[in-house]
Amino acid sequence: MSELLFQNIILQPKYIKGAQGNLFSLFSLPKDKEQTIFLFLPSFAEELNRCRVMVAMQARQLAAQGYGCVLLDYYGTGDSQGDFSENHWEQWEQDVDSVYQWLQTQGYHNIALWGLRLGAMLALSCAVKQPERYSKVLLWQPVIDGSVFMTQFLRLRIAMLMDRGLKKETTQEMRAMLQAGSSIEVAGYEITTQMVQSIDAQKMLGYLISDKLPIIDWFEVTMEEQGELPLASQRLLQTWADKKINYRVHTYTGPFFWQLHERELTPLLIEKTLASLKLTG
Amino acid sequence: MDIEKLLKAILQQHLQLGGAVASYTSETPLLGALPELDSMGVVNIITAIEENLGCTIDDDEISAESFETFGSLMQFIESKL
Repeated sequence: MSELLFQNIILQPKYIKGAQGNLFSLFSLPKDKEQTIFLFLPSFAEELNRCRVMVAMQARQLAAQGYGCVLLDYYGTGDSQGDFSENHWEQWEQDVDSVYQWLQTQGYHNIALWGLRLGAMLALSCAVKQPERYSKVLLWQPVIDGSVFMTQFLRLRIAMLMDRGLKKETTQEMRAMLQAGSSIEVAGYEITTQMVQSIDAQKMLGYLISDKLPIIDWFEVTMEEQGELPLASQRLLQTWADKKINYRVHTYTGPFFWQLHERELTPLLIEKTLASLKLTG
Repeated sequence: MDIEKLLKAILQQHLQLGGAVASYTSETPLLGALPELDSMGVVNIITAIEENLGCTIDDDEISAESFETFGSLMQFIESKL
């Protein structure tokens, strides 16, 4: 495993000016300005923290191959300025744009998007809106329906209430409270109306993918080797196949590292990601 | 469908329990007995059951009773088939 870590490769902390305040990122330079630089978009709330080790490991692997990386903390998350309650979809799109513009001013024009979970959905959403901007789109374990994702997230509150023997609430009741304009606390995070509504509205099935978009590389874990993707993913990808959208699926087995407390590595995913970069198309 | 095998695989994949899962029986306590089974763990297991069975679990169905033991969770899965 030690050769996977590349601890000697330093990811440099860097503040990038965003629309609302400074955005924290970890940065590694590509070997030259023509080489691809990957902008990593993390997931939401606790998933953002739990994936850090794995993402840093992938970034070091990419660096060892000459690629660059920017590992972004969205405005209001991690070490960026702002408060978590200011998070919402349009803010994230704004952050992606800020980093893209900054990379342009630094002379980097070969920019790729790489996202995990909700960040993968955001990566595709940004690429769909500006397909000419990005040279690659890597989706790790993409969320394909914002409201399904949000319901799963809101259930953390149900589980917490259950654990403490408190009065039950349903996600519908939580959504009603949000609808009425009040924020709620879920797993220690302040969840706002704008946050939930903007995420709820995202449906990958509705994304209009033009042929200007580079091929989409889709990475998803399966329960067993060569196992099938979850039904929801299969259905979405079938519609892409019908529309002749260019994509490749890479499955792997391993732990759900974005969910876990203890640091857990998924070397198979890293290998497959690196291998995908060597494919043409 | 081998529910026991499925549930063991889900617990292993989502809670980092390693090889310990192999020896689980119906009486093995879960909620309150496993530090790994926190709120996020409960939600992730519910989601995994939904995805593997292609079913929907209502908020009302999420209860401490279902997560009490390995056996009660197996029963819950059976009720969703």
